[in-house]
Amino acid sequence: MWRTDLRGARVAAAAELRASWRRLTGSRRRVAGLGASLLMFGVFFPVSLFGPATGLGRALAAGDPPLGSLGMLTGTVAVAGLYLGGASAINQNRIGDIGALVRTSAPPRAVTLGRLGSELVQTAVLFVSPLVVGLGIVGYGAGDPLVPLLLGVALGAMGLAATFAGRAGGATLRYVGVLSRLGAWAKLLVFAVVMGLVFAGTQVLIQSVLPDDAAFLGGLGVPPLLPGRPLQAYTAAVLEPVGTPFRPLGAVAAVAVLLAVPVGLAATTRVETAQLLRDDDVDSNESATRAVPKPLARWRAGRLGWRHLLGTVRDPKTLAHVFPVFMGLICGTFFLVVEPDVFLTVGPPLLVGAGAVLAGATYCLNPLGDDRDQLPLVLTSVESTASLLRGRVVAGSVLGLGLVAVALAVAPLGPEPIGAIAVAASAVVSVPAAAGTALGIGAFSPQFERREYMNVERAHPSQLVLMGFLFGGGLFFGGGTTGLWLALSVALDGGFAPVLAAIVWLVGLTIYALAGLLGYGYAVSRFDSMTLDGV
Amino acid sequence: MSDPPAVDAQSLSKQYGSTLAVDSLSLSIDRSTVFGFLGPNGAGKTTTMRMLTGLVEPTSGTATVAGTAVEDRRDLVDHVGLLPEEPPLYTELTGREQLRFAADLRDMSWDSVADRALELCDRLDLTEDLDRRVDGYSKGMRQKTAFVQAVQHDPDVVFLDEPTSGLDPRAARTLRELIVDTADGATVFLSTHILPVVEEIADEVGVLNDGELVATGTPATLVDRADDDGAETDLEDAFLELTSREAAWD
Repeated sequence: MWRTDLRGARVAAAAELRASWRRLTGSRRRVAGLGASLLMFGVFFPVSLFGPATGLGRALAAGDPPLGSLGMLTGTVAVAGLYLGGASAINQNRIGDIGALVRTSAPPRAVTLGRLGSELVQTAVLFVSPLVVGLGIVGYGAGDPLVPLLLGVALGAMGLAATFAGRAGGATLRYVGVLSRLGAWAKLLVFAVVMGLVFAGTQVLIQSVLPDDAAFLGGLGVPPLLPGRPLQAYTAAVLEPVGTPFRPLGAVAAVAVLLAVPVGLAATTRVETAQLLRDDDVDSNESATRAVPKPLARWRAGRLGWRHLLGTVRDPKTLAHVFPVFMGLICGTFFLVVEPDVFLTVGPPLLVGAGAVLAGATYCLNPLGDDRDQLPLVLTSVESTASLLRGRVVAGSVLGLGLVAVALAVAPLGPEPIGAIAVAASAVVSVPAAAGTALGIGAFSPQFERREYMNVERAHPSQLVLMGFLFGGGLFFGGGTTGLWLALSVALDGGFAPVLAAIVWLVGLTIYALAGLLGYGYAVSRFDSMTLDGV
Repeated sequence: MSDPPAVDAQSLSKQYGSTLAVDSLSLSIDRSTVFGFLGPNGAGKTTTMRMLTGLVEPTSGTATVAGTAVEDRRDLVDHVGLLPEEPPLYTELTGREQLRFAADLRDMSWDSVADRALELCDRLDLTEDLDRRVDGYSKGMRQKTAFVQAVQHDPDVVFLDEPTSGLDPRAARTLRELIVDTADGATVFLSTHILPVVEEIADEVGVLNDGELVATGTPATLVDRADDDGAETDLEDAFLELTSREAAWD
């Protein structure tokens, strides 16, 4: 039976890898992206790490290992492995592009193993090259090939173990979600509470362990809390042949790492195979028709925008791509638990900035791209895509203004209520402006192809656009809004003349409005001339 | 001055890379007719419909629909309704919300189209399911909903790509009746592989083969032309003869 399963797994993995390779090299843009990544790893990585890596090599060769740094390095690999493994389990497309055929042609365990193998190879390809380059530099510094070899074994084994452990954990979490039969919103709520508690707990733990004046990661010395003694001991145990002091804790950690691979593999195979044979939970499709709410029903963009909001209410997965924003919000909310004074002071401007980012990120970063299947209807029904795009601005702004409402509610409790209320009022400009800006950025590179992200298969915005807007837009709108608030606060405290604050506000809001209008205008011109030829 | 033809195409071509999907298609379709558009898989039917509805740009040639150039999408949308092969529905909406949304897209009030839309739903046995979400619909129900949204605004020309696909025999019959009714005021451009349907309801037929329009005429004319050896033939025989590579029509 195992022989049949392994044969099926090999065939499935090979087909999946071939398909992935063709997808990767299927368009010039992707090839360019691949080239840029390789260039970054090939040039940026060695250059930026040359000094520390050769230093590490020299120290190891001299029998003077910086255990703190080694522990941090191993810890980084472990965290990366855990994250990648967990994310790949949660993000998995059930069997990739060959789903239905494979599911009806190969034993379930073969499908699971094939998919695992294919994903492992893809992950390895991604990380092996920087690891080899990094170890090469360490070897250059050490002047002894044994040093990079042992370090490679230590990091590789830890990466593999952490990946399998993460994968098993992610698969279990996913399966528990399926078994729970909870609706998408309930799962989201549970997740938010758990993440918030983890965040708050970590904050409390760190504050209780670290003295107030402790340097968090004090240089290259051994930090007091992170990365943890077991990781240091593990790395020291593997590097014992080059003179690193051996401790019994290291042997225990090494055995645990070695065991994690087969145990993780077995657990993953078992859980994912069980899940493969079980249908995902399906939300009830019974649902009453909802009329467009009156405030939105008055104009066309509102009526068209309502569809997006309704879609999100019925299926929050449509917002999977803004997961990082929600994570930030969850952590920010729980910040209230540990630092209420700070929250009440900077919370309102940050919430307004987050509202602007949310308004842009939700429905405007892939305008019309996520309407791919409906384009024949849309393009033969609207005289201009402007109304559709305005609908997206309206829908995004409704969500963004929700956060602004929270800021307004919090404002009277803080030390600067006038400044906080004023900055909330500025959202009338900044929130729709952010949505308009996002439209322009999204129109630059619309994505019509469906892909899996956060376990949701749809036409998500491109990663470049998404990350660009979350970081750039976050800085522009979040930072800018905080700047407006600061200018007003300083003026209210008599720090500078009120007229100066007024000028700052005028210039700031004008820049926002211009950015929004430019983005919106570009998107309209781009999509008004679009045909299915470009899809 | 008489109304322009419902569809008027002159030397319409579409090229994808080295593939000529549609080759110099010239065609004129009168108003208030059902035009059956036939052709084997890959003949270029969908590409032709996409060009005529402004969804893709012709590589060369010109075409008008109800007198409006197909490149002028701003005006074209007032004249056309489209049911593509894959029903373009938002699955998170209910059927009623979808139909309202389709009206909103055209900036038409629901009240102005509701009577017609609901009557069509009634005839298609869709009324009871209108308040269910589309993701719970069967393929046939999606097809019916997409048909209603394609015609509820009373367009001049309705383009239907395999409209009876996925429908049970009763629903397919109702839809055929609705198509005939629709042609009372509008023109129906009907692309299908189901030849008896075309034979039954089409006023005119065009046959596309390898991107070229190889024959036009009434179904009876095409059958007669294929009936040159005295054997009894039907539209299927005519179609097979017209689309066989060896066929040499004069």
